[in-house]
Parts: sequence; structure tokens; C-alpha cells
Amino acid sequence: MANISVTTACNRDCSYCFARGARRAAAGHMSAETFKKALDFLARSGIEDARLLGGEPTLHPDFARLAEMALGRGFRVRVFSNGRMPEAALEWLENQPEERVAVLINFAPDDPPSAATLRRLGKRANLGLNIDNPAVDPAFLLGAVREHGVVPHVRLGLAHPMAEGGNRFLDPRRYRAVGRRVAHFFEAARQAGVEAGCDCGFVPCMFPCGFLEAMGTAAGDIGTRCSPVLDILPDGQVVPCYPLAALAREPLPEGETADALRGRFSQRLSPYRRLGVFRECAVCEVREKGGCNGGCLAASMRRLRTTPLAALPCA
Amino acid sequence: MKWAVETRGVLLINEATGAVVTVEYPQAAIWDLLTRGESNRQIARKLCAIASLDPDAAEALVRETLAAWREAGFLAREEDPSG
Repeated sequence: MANISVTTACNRDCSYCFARGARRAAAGHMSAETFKKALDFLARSGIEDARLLGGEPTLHPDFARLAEMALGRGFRVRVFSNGRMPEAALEWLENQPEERVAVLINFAPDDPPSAATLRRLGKRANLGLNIDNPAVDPAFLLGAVREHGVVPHVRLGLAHPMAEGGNRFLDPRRYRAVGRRVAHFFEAARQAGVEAGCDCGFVPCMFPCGFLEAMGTAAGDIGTRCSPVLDILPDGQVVPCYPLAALAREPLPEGETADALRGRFSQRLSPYRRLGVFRECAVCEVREKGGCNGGCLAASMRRLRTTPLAALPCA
Repeated sequence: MKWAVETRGVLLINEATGAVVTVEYPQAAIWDLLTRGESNRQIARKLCAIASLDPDAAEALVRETLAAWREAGFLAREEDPSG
């Protein structure tokens, strides 16, 4: 998996946005030439999906042309949108075959996409939600799925911090409260015939006892999903993921695969992997047995304290 | 130089070299007190209470621990004027 951030432009201003650091560093729209290089990179890495992000990717002035370029090369196109898209982009998307183009709409409860947009996208649209505090109840998504006829699959994400700070994020001390809500939501989704899934950063200990066991395979890889996903920025630089954008970046490599680049990023970030989001992670048996990698690395790094060597009175 | 408090001590990360060390108590207390600006003598005095050590043992523990951290690059060497 790797994401192509085609533009830094956005028409929302989410306080939890963890892309804002990367967006500041690479402001602008991706050129067709860079997009082609990004597709080359995906192709030689054996990646079949062109995942287009932003900002709001549909605000790229040549959005449809770029997406068509990806389709023409045999990729499936997945668009990560906030749902507030220009008419031209919406018109293009609603005319694409459902099996080739999907739109994941990150739903903002206080500023939802219009019902007309969701209806027009129909089975091309999946709904998602980033949780930035325990008061957020994802249950409203089930109503939206039912009402608008979108794909009965919902994805939940956590609002991660940027490693360097600067965004509102879900403090790990509130993970357990979120875990209770998510467990309740999964059960409601199951009863409603909606498949629910979790993005990166969820950890087993945030859920009530027995929840993951009851979920079985549906729990997927909760606890072990933090690894460099690779986000390709509009200027052609690649970062491990948005929250870690300040720590490592490289230009799109010529002739190399995503695995090679991921390996270098993993190596560079390895000193921090001993951390976990909680101080208790150091003595966690689940982690020791490989059932968890300590959660979001950027969230773990927020626990770090800095002491300049020169400030230490070591004489 | 970055560090984090863990359940059983502190984790030290030397970002320049990539070296990572887990330090358990009572040595972790030495690191904590160092970062609060305490002198070696003050640290040794507090260690007597924290780790139930006699004064000589506490001073030796501080001396040996600091030497090991200098060796590992977690502290500047004494001859380094910036240290």
C-alpha cells in the first residue's frame, strides 16, 4: 500500500488534521509528470490500488485526468475525500464503474457531506470517521449507510498526533473510553449488516476484555498495523506517513520498490520502536508475544522528553 | 537526546547514533535527578534514601553509572567543554 497525495488544497480545516505538517512542507498540486512517476513506483512495487489523498484530492484542477491516467494503467482508484467535492469531480466519479473506482468519505459529524453527493456516489462510496475524542459516537454512520445506499462498510480511524505537534489528537489516556464505544459500535454494525473496520493505531488493551476474541478474524490486525504506509507528497517527496512526515522523507526513488523504501524508513525509525503509547507497553505480555507493536509511533513519540546533553550536569 | 519514562525505569534514545538503552531503577532515578539539574553529590545523597544504599555505595553507583552512560554516548564526556 502507498498513498499519492495529489494536492495540499483542502476545503475543510479539521483541528485534528495530521496531514497539515506534510501539507505545509509540500504545498501545491502534484504535476502530471510527478503523478506518472508515482504510478511507476506503485507498478514496480506490485501495488494494484492508486489511493489518492490530499488535502481534498478532488480539488486538484486535473483530478479527473490524473484518475483516468491511473485507470488507464490498470490501477483501481481509491479516493480519500471529505465529501465536499467540486461538481466536475463528482460527475466524473459517479460515471465510473463501481469495481474500478471507490471513494472513501471521511465523515465530519458537524459538517457532513450532502445527501445528494452520497446518493450520487452510491455503491462507490464507503464512509469513515476519525475519532478525536471519546464523546464521538460512530453510531450515526449506520443511519447514513442505510439512508444513502452507500457500501455497507465503515472504517474508523484515530486522530493521531503529528510527531512534531501542532494538531489536536486523541490522547492515548482516552483510548479505553474510545475502545468501549468502538466495541459497542462494532456490535451494532454487525446487527445492522454493516462491516466495520479499524485503521492503524488501535491497540488491543483499549477494548473491553473478550472483545477481540469475540471478533475473531474481523479484528484483523488491530495492534500491529503501525508501519510506514508511504505517503507520496505533491512535490514528489515520500514520507513514512503523515504523522511522521517531519522525521523522514526521501524523493521518489528511481527504480526502487516500496518495500525498499519502507525498509529504510523502518530502519531510521527503529530507535523509537521500543516506545509504546503507554509507559506500561514496556512490560506488556501481549506486545512481547507479537500481538501488539505499541500503537501509533507518532503517539508514542509524544511521550519523549528532550534533554540537551549540554544541560546535563555530568562533571 | 530523548528519553521517556517507562514502567520499570527510563528509555534513553541517542538520536545521533540510534543507540537505545533501557535503564531500570535505581539507575533510572539517577537519570531523572540529572535532568532536574542535581549535582552528583546531591544525587548520591538522595540515592541513599531511594535505594537504601550507604553513602559510599551510592557515590560509587552514581560514578559508575555516569561513566557507563558517557561510554555509550548518552552523556558528554567530561573533557568535552560543552558537556
